[in-house]
Formats: sequence, structure tokens, C-alpha cells
Amino acid sequence: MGGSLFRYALFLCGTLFLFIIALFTILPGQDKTDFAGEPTVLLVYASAGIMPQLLNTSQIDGFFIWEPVVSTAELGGIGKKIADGSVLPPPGEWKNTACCVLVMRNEFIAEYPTIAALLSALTTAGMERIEEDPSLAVNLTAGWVFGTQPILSAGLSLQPTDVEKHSFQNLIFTGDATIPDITRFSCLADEIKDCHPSKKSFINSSVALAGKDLLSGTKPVLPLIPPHVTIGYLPSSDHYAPLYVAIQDHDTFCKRYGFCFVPEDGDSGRPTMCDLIVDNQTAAYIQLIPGQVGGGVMTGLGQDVIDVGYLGSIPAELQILFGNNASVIQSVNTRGSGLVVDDMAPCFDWNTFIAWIKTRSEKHKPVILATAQSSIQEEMIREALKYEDIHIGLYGVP
Amino acid sequence: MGYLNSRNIMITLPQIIKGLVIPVGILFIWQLLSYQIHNNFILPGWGEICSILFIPGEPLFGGPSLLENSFYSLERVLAGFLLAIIVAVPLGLICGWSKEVYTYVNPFIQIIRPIPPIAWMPLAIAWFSIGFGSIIFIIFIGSFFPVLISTLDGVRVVRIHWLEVAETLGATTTEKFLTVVIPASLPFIWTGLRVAFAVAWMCVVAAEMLPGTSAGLGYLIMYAYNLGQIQVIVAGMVIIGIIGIASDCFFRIGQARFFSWQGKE
Amino acid sequence: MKDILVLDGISKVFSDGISVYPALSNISFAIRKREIVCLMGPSGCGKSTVLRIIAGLMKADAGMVHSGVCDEPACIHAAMVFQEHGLFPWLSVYDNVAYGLRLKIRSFKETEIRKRVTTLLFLVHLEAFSSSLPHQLSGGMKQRVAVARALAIEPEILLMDEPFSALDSYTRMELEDEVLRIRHEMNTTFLFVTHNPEEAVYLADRIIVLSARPATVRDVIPVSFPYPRDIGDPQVIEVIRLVTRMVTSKEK
Repeated sequence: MGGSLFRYALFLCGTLFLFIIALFTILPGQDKTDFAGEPTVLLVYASAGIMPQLLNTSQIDGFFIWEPVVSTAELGGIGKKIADGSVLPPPGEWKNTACCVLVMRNEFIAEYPTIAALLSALTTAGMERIEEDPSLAVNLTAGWVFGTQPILSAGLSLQPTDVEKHSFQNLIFTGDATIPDITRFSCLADEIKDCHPSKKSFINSSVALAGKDLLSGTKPVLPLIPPHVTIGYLPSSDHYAPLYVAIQDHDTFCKRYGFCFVPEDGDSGRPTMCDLIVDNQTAAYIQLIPGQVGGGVMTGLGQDVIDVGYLGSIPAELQILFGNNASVIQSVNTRGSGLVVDDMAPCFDWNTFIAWIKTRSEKHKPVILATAQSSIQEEMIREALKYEDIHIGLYGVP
Repeated sequence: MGYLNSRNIMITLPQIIKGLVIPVGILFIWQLLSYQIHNNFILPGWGEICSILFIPGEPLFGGPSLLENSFYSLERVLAGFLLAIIVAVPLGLICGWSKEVYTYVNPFIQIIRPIPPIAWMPLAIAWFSIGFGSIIFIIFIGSFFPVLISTLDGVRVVRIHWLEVAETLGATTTEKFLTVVIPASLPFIWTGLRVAFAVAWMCVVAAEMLPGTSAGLGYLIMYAYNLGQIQVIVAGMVIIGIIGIASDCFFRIGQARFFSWQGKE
Repeated sequence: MKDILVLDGISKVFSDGISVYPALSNISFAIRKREIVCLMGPSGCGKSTVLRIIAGLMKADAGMVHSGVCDEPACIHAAMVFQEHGLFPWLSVYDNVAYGLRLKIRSFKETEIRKRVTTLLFLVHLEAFSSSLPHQLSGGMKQRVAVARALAIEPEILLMDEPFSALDSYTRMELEDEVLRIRHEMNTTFLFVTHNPEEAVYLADRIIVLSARPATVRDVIPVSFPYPRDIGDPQVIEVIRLVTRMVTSKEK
């Protein structure tokens, strides 16, 4: 009864089955841990938001990410922070090095230098405001990043303001930090164009200088027609608190400097459209564009879709290195990253963490660490682990 | 099936040439535009794209090559796809055959079906292992329903006539099921497989773009996006398209080889 | 000649839950071995229903079907050929004919099956098409395969429900001769439903005419001309006319 058809079907199934077996054996599966006993860490790329969940369900052993995710995990009873970003080796590397930066497209700077200066000025002013009134900053940032509802964490309910207060202890907002030196990063592949590490200059300091002038009272010369400006940033991070504060506390800024952001949706905790007002005139229409990772925002700048970006310094520099026609204006913050491991993990600082990695590797159960792909955190942890001679593998790939 | 019957599977040379006119035209215009715009972030030129495509074994971004990433994606698709077949075909056969079972199972299916597979991702990451298990689950969900429904339909449209013939020749109910219902519904199941594979292939690329994977074509595209390497993205898209066409051809050929009898009696 | 099939008072009523449609009322007749009996009657009177009850596809509401062995339809070793050939399109001609032999209720070895199927294919002149698929054959050839498939299980009686009415006249005449030949060579008994009075008179030993619904046996017309019959013969034509009148007559 249809003998030939069934024979063919069987043959097909058999071939398919063999093919899959072959794939599974040729390509390594998830549990290949044989790196000849070399101390190894397996990295997993995940989005900031799910890292606490992954740690909580024991799919990872720890994660290295930006605030306030770190504070959420700590206060939510999911894990403990054993190291701040600033203690990561090479020693002293990250002490006063910019974590996040303000970046702008070079063509945008050339076309609208005043607007660029105003944006830089407001960012700097935001930082000063945070120093002046920290609790206001905490409230506004909590509202921006989390909203007003309590945050649910594996069994606990957290108040956003508590999380933010904790997070701010790990953040320093400054425009004067030096950007990390990435000439030590080799070009990732030969096929990437325009890769000349030594040639690139990443910073355009004129904008920050002009910004400082505006803050001390120089009158800005506005463009005839207010342009439409897009600003990309990462709403899951509170590193951009200066921006959030400048927008939400606009009354103070208007009174003090004569220029400010005025959100169009006034009551929203996280506005998307603002007007840049200078002496009661609209200087520019601002659109805030939320992104998932810094690299994505930077690509937006490269595509002329985003004019201004707030993102991690390393992703910004990498893309400028690869030919992205943009410049770093100033730093936004230092510190603000944390290494979080499970509460039960046998380590409490960076050195014991490294020791733990080695023990686990000997048992052929390497530590699995999550980080955000193409972020400064990824580069920091890779750099630090390499410094400690730890081999880095990707979870699921040889 | 109209003009797509088994005899016309062999395509003639003039047809190939005519079919190539539009793609080649687009390539030409693309290359012109990329010179014009001169921005690799917006429209990379075909020189860069092809330099990635022509050495597919070369490691990309210090990691797996284009070819290896394709295998990772294919591996996940096949695993989830096969799993879906193993569950959906028997379930579809039983649901189509037994009204009772159908009444129990159908409401559940109608509720779950409209949910896009990608929406399951956050839950999948929590329930199954990140990277592999969760993606297999997504593929499974995506392929499950087309296979189930076409199997179900295949059983329902089996001619009562054939069942009567089998009965008069002395077949038991089990034999009727095995020797009439299953062969008769195979062409429908095959079509379901074809649709399901296309869905599964789209799902895997989308699922790999979500955070949590470290390999695969979707992951490669996201990685390239984060580094502003749009030419790698386009190369990835070309590979995705090629695999999609290849799989569709496979199903077409199978249709012509084994099910040429469908629809003609 | 013994009776191999006896219908005794068969009645059948169809109901759709609202109305009731009496279909058959007290049908009784007997068929002897090696007979070709044609069943005729006005359209929709229930001829197919009678066949289906005999084949076991339907149960009668009253009355009994006797065969030489026992008293239930399931015991009748009857195979059926339908107007629609009903060949399994995914099986080759060979496998279609062999289908009945491969079922569990018969334990045949492949060598025996091969012998029997080949013989039957020769019988219906289709030995050259053994590995063809049904959709590659003409209508007449398909019906021949259907007949061979039915004969493969060596039924005591072959039920045929207007098997040739969808074919053109030349093919029909060929196949009618096949029926006669099969009866001659294999001693098969036939119960043959047809609309065609010529066909009935050409083939039948007896013609049973049913009335309009609810059907009863109106008349049983014996046809005793020697085989093969000449349709042009005046006497034969007379019988054909008689049969036609009987079938189309509005009297009960």
C-alpha cells in the first residue's frame, strides 16, 4: 500500500535525522566546557531588563551592567554587587574615565553650532542641578526610568525612588572625564572600512566650550528656522539623569539661564517631544528617541536619522573609528556600572570573583556572565578579564 | 495548481532570463544610488557586500563566520520544526478523525494561535534556556499551527468514497485510518510543512535578534547593526533569502515527485 | 443453482430529525449463484440503498439479508464497484488491486498476491499498466481496475452501482462484454444497478424492477436469450421496450 511512498518518506526522515545529528556534533552545543581547563568565562548577550530574571532563574551566574539595573537586583534580593565598574582592571583605568558621553553628528554641529552648544550647555547645567538638589534629581529620574508604579522583583515590590537613591550612590555626573583610549582595541575585522586607530580624533571640544560660554551669559545666535533635532538615548539607564532633570525641571533652567527644554506632553514622566526655548522663542523642536543599546543609537547617527546621542563611550568611539561621521562632545558620567552575582556565590570582591572563576573552570563548569552587547560594559568586562588572563567564550559558540 | 504541475517544474532558459531582469535592474540602481549617497551606513555598495558573501567561511567580528552563523540558525529551525511535526501531525490526524477530541482541543488552539511567536520570547527565556532552548520553543510555536491545521483539514477532506471502498473490501477502522486517511491527507500535510518552514525561518531570524543569543543570522544582523556595518546586514539578508528559496524549492520538488496525483482523479 | 443471497422484507427509512422519508418498503428477492441480476427503477427510488445495505455500508430498519452462511450483512462476502471508480490515487494500479489482499482479515503472502493480481490484470487487459497511477488512465481503464480490485478478494457476489454510466458508449459496450467474460471465467455472481434498459437486457438473467419511492419490487423480468445477445434482434428489442415501459410507468 503505497510502499514506494513510505519508503521515500522513511528515507527522507532518516536523512534529515542524520543531518541534524551531524549538525549537533559538528557545531558545539551549549555545554561544551572543555577549554583544556583554562580559566574561562562564558559571556551571554542579553538586554538590561532581563538580566535580573536570568540571574534569578539561575541561567547565569552574574551580570555586569549599568545602573539602575544593578540597584534593582540588589534591593530586589536577587543578587549582590561585588564590584563597582571603577575597580575593574587594568588598575585605575576606569577611575575617572567617562562611562557615557554626549555625541553629535559632525554635519549637525556644522549646520547648527548654536543648537549644539545649547544642548551641551543644558547637559552641563543638568549635572550641576543634580549636585545642587540630589533628592529632586532622584525623584525625576525615578519617574523617567521606572514610572510611578512600584517595581516588581522576584517576590519583592520596590519603590522607584528607593532604587534610584541607591543607584545615585554609584554615579558621578561630570563633563570633564576623559574618554577611554581605544587605540588598544584592534580592528575587529579587515573588511571594516576606514579603520585607522591612530588617525582618529574623537572629540570636538569647541561645542562644550561654546556651551560653557552660554552658561555664563553669552547670548546665543539662533538659526532663522527652528530645526527638528532628534536625540537618541537609552531610557533603561539613569546615566542620562542630567538630560532627564534638564527636561523635567525646565522651570528652574528657564529662570536661571533663559534657555531650557519645555516638554510638549507636560505631565508625562517620559516625554518624547520637547521645544528648546531661548528667551521665550522656540530655537528647535526636539524629538527624544529611545534605544535598546548604545550601538544602535550610534548607527542611527551614522544614518543621519539621529542627530545627537547619549550613549556609552566605547560604542561611540568604535563606530567613529569605523567611519561614523560624528564626534564626542563631552562626558556625561563616570562609574555607574556594577558586577552582580548570586547571593550564594562564594565571592565578595573582584579578586575573590576571579578566584571563583578559576575554581569553576577547574570543575568544567565555567562561570556564565551576562552583559549588553556592544556596550561599554561589554568592553570593560572583556578588558578586565583579559587582564586577568581569563579566556572568554560566548555561551553557545566555541 | 494551474501551471505549476510537475511537467512545468523544469523552467526554460527564456523564463530564467525574464525572471532575472528585475533583480538585476534593482542591483544596478542600488549600486548607482550607493555611489551617489556615499554613506556606508545608509546604502552600502555591492562591492563591500559581495566581499562578505564571497568568503562566507571568514570569521566575522572576531566570531563565527557567515556560514557558521547560517548553520546555527538552520540547526535551530530544524530542531523546532521537527519537534512541531512530531507533535502536530499526530494531533492533527486525531483531531480530524475524532469529533470528540476536536471539540476538546479546538478552543485551546484558537486562543493560542493568534499570538505571534515572538511575543512568547520573554516567557520562553524564563522557562527554557536562554539562547537555544527558548529559540527552539519559538520555532516550535511558529511551525506548530500551520502543520496542525493543514493536517486537520487534510483528514477532513478525505473522500468518504474511499473510506467506503476500503470498508467494502474488509478494512477495519484502524486500517482505514492508516491506509486511506493518512496517505490521502499527506499532500495537505506537505503543504502545511512548506508553510510552517517558511514561518519557522522567519521566526528564527527575528528571535535571534532579540537579546539572549550569541550566534545565528539574526544575531549577526543585530551585532552588525550595533557596529554600524550595514554591508554585513545586507549579506545576511541575502543568505536568508537564499535559504528561504532553497527550502521552498525542496518542498515544490517533493510535491511534484510524490503528490502529482493530487487533485486529479 | 443455490441461492447465495436472499433479501427478506428489507425496509429502510431516512430521517433528518424533522421529517421521515421512507425509502425502501418490504424488498424481497433472491439471487442464485452465477446469475447476473440487474436492478432497475426510476431515479432516486433507492437502488443504491439496496446495494449499500447488502454491502454492509448501511443497516436496514426491518427485514433480513441472508447469505448461504449467516444472517447479517457483514457475512456476505460482497465487493462493490461504484459509478465513481474510487481508486486510491496514491497507489499504482497494482497496489490498488492488491489493496484488499493486504488487509488484516486476509493473510496473503506477497507471492500469492503477485500471482492473483497479475492474473486479474490480464483478465481486464491492463497488465501493461501495472505501475501506472490512476490519474494516468482513461475512465474506462479506471473502471476496469476498480473491477479487478473488487474481484481480487474473490467475493461471492459483485455489486455494481451504475459502474459504466459515466463512460462513453464504446467503452461501455467493451466493459459489458468484460462482465460476461468474468462471469464465464470466474463464475462470479453479479447484482448490477443500471439506468440503461439496453445494458440490462444485454447482461441480465433477470431484471428486478423497483417502483418509485417508497420502493417495492414491482416486477421481476426473466431474460432467457442465449449469450451473447444481439441488440438488433426484434425479440430482444421487444423486451427492452417492455423493461423501459415498466421502469417509466407511473403506476404502482
